[in-house]
Amino acid sequence: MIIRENDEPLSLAAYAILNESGDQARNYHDALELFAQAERLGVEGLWVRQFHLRRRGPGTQSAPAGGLSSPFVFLAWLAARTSRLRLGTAAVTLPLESPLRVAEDAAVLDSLSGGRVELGVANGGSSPGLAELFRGTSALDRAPGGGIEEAGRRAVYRAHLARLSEALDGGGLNASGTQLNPLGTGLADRIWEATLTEHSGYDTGARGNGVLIGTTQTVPAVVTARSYYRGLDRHAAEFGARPPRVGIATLIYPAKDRETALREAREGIEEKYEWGSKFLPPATTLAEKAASIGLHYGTPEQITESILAQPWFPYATQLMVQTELFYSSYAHRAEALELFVREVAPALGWADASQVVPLG
Amino acid sequence: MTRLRIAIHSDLREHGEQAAVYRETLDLFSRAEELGFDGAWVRSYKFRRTGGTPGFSFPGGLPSPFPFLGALAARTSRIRLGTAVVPLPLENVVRVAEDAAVLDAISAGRLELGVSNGGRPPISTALGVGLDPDPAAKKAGYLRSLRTLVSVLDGDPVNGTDQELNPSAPGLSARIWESALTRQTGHDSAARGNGVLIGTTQTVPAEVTASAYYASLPDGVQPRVGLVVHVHPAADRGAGLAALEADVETVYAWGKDWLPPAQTLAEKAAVINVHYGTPEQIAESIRAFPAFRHTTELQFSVAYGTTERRQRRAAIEAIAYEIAPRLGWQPASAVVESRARAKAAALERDLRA
Repeated sequence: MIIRENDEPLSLAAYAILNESGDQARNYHDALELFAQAERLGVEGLWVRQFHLRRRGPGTQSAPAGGLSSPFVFLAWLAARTSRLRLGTAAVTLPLESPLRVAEDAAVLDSLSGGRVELGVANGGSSPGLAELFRGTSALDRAPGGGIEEAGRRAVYRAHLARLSEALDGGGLNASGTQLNPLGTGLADRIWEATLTEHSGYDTGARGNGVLIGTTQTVPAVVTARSYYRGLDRHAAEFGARPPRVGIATLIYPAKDRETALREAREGIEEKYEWGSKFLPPATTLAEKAASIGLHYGTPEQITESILAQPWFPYATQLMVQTELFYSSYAHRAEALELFVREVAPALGWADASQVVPLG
Repeated sequence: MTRLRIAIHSDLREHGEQAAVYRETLDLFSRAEELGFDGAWVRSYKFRRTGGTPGFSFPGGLPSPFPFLGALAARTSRIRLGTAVVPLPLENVVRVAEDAAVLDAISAGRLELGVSNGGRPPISTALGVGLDPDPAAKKAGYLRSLRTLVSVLDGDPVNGTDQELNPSAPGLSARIWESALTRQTGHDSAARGNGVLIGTTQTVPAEVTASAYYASLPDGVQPRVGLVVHVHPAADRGAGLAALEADVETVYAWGKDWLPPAQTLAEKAAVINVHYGTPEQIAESIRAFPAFRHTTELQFSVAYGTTERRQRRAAIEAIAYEIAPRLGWQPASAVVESRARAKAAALERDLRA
């Protein structure tokens, strides 16, 4: 039986962190083709992460050798090659950016895509050294206390988020009444925040924004999700009700059985667990580690069962399906995504949106 | 002598809903690629005033060239993708390098990166950027930004840390162009080995900047001089000028404090670099423009005097088929070959039918 704690239709998105090592142009190209294919499968959305720069030398989980530094440019390519796919950033590290430059990039992408942008932003968590790199050009210099300590960073984040929302809403940006251009696409209603804690989940809801929840968090995803709903109630009391938007990262690895999946994915599981061992639920065996990093694996039935058993599942409105870390090629990922769409998602209560007349 | 190249150049400030203007421009640029154009350049404008509608007299435009060119990259395969220009004083230069690197990666190395020392209040105030009111200090800041941009694009450690640009941008630092409005900037851009973008509203005649550029170009560096020209094909000069009246008057009024003096409409059109009439007359007018002989890439803007998209499509066809060939341009061999293939395929279809 499928238990849902919300009335929204469950939607599906592909979620990509794009931090494979190797020829980056080649990775981007393969990823773009995969996502264009995802639309044809009926997947409703796509989310890409943002990573600034890379450490010189070989990468690790915590300091990837690659990634996507400019999600808006990447998504614009997809805007031209797709017609229905929602184009999401998950997420733009707001304290490192000029909020108005983010607003401009997002607004141009929204115009180019016919209003398909889902604008995810984040406080950035721990990215050691990055703030210093952007110093001199980022508003972090103007943080209360002049620094990049946690409280200051949160204050900068809030100020940037307020400025971003205001700009997207068509607010005047200086004394002469300058406005963002282009305008008029309703993008301020499509902001999402990536959150890691109970507190930030609540704040996100209270601002009426959507929430993006990773499964490798400092608190269980269900804690963040529940507090998001409480925040959303608070928002409703003050400003009127908004439908919940809860996207949850869903890492999968299909195989003919669970043992095979574990064997093939071993290296990725160990590496990811090692990376998060300080805050992930403790685990000893490989299967425990797989559970700890939030991996759903095995046959379609086993993956379905694993997802349905998650305490967060009833709160999700969107599954952000992640086919990464364990895959040998993009063809392998495409296969996994297709299997998920055809055999897992319907069993989770997803109705194929490609049957629905596209919006806009 | 290097082959003359041609590009399409747009400020995306045509009247109409902004999203529709963006879409039309993407269509126009895709068509330009089919016609054999070598490049496409977009200008960048930030913000608009409250209550304003886009259009020349009321600036809208494109604030984010990189996402726009990302969409163009998906729709084209050969045409070069140019920013004209990114105003470095308003930007975080590391973010510019990232945008440029991602665009270059997804377009298979087609970016031409134009930058400038632009930016002024109240735009900078709205962006939350402090600009030095002293021009010399602002210029020094621009040069620091430009050096950082080159170094980051070249893969050097960013700000002395263990971090570097991702993705890598091989060869991109050799594809930087600077907007040059004076003799001095012509000299300086050449000395840095960069290209120059000239022909928009300059404070000195474009040929002055261009000859300064050549005088300072280091040995062995290929010159890159992009000249913007506004063209308006029409049945004759009179009809062309009549259609251009409103736009020419608006642009001249805007720049009258520093543009060369002009009285008649024809004089005003000449000082703002507008060429009109039959294809022969346009070609003749461009050939007579003093900066033309210094030009390696003619960048055609077709916005002035047009109100409809079909006029702009007709204009770029006239450029590719009738105007540019008269100025010595020939399509790149790849274009000629693909046209020949298409022709052969059509012929074969006809024979079979």
